[in-house]
Amino acid sequence: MSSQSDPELPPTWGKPVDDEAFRGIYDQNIRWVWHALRRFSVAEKDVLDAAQNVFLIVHRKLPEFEGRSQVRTWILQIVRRVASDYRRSAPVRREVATDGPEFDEHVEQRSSAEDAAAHTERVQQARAILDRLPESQRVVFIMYELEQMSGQEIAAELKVPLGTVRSRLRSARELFQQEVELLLGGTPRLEVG
Amino acid sequence: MMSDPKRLMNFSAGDWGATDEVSAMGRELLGSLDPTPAERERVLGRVIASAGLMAGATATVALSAKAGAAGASQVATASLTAGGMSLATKLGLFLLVAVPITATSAYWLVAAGAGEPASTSSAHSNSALPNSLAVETPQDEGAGAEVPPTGRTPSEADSDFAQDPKRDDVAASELTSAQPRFTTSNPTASKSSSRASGASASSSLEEEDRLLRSARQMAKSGDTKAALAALHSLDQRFPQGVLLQERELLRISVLNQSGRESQAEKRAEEFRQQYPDSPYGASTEKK
Repeated sequence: MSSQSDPELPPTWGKPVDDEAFRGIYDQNIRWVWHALRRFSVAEKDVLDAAQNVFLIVHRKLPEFEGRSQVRTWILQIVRRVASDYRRSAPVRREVATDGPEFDEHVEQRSSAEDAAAHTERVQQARAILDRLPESQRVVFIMYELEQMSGQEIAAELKVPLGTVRSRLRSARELFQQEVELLLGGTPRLEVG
Repeated sequence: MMSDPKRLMNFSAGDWGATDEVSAMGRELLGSLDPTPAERERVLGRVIASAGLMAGATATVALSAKAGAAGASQVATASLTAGGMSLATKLGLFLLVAVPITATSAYWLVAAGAGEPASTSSAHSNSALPNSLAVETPQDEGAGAEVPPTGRTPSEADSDFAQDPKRDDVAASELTSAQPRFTTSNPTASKSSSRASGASASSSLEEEDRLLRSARQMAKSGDTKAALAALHSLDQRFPQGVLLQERELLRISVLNQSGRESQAEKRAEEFRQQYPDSPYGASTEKK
């Protein structure tokens, strides 16, 4: 670092790491990170905090990153470590349970309480259905549909042939759809108003 | 009511490839697992707030740089997570950041790190993280000692400051409801903001507002330290901010919440002197 200070510059508080770059990365990656954290066994109530930790690290390490690997690969490593540390400390945290329902009340300023409740219900339904899929299928399904990984990426990560990924995905989709119809088929419960 | 499912069924599924296997309703259901816009914003706000905090601490030491990429890397080098750290330190940092997954504790860590001059922080191991949290005015020095060393769990740390959540709730809700009208009712502030270049004025107001909301959220979740830190960031970044009164009110409320009543009262007194006509004035009166 240079020891000279430039009086012309205001304290450039906001520019330590290129914020624009960070935001771009955040926007492109938050969704799959969110789902990946769940896949790595982060509890629903802790996903937000875990995502925050992931992106804190991303933000901090961004200057070191320099595109040596794909951004996604790089972030996935961070996700893994955060999730792994999380699991290790999970028993402690369960007692803490800071993010109760009252913490969520603030989440959606514009939406009504019914909307929030309906959203929570949908999340629970979706998770319940996913939980009913066999593990091997569920993982592929989540990776493909939610984390938006490609078939090749999934095959590489799971160390299975691409054909296996395809067939698991197909089975998972069928099962998922069956469960959706079982759960929601008769009454359009998804409909909120 | 009936039109919605139909619409859903007609949904043409973009990414889904073999879409006939999963109905639009199934897709809709899956979509509920995505982070909501509010959740996205919250995570981003928290990350930016704490990252800014770190930069604030390093700014005085390291900010010789021109804005932009060169500056970014220099500041980053000076910051807590500099590239020069040993592997063990990095791993330690990872644990420190990731283990206390309670949102607030990550701030706590970052905030603690930010209190130390950058020139020394990169040479320290994490177990030597400073105890002082330099987020408040000088009279706060004593309070810095409350920041626990690394061994404490988030719950312990939080409980120190959960003494009077009610008071904060009141103030926070007042702020939330009152904020919009206030952005236009502070002549000094709007003057100073209009002095800024027109294009950036609105975005900087948005940024200020976002940081303030994130500070408020931290306070609401009981993390007074992080909230004070975020407020301090705001002071540094927007000394002439548009939402100065809101900021100050939140600070008073957080100080109360964290048991620093005398500081809160002092600031409340200053607030009433500085803004005698503020519509918020009454809310700073001691109850």
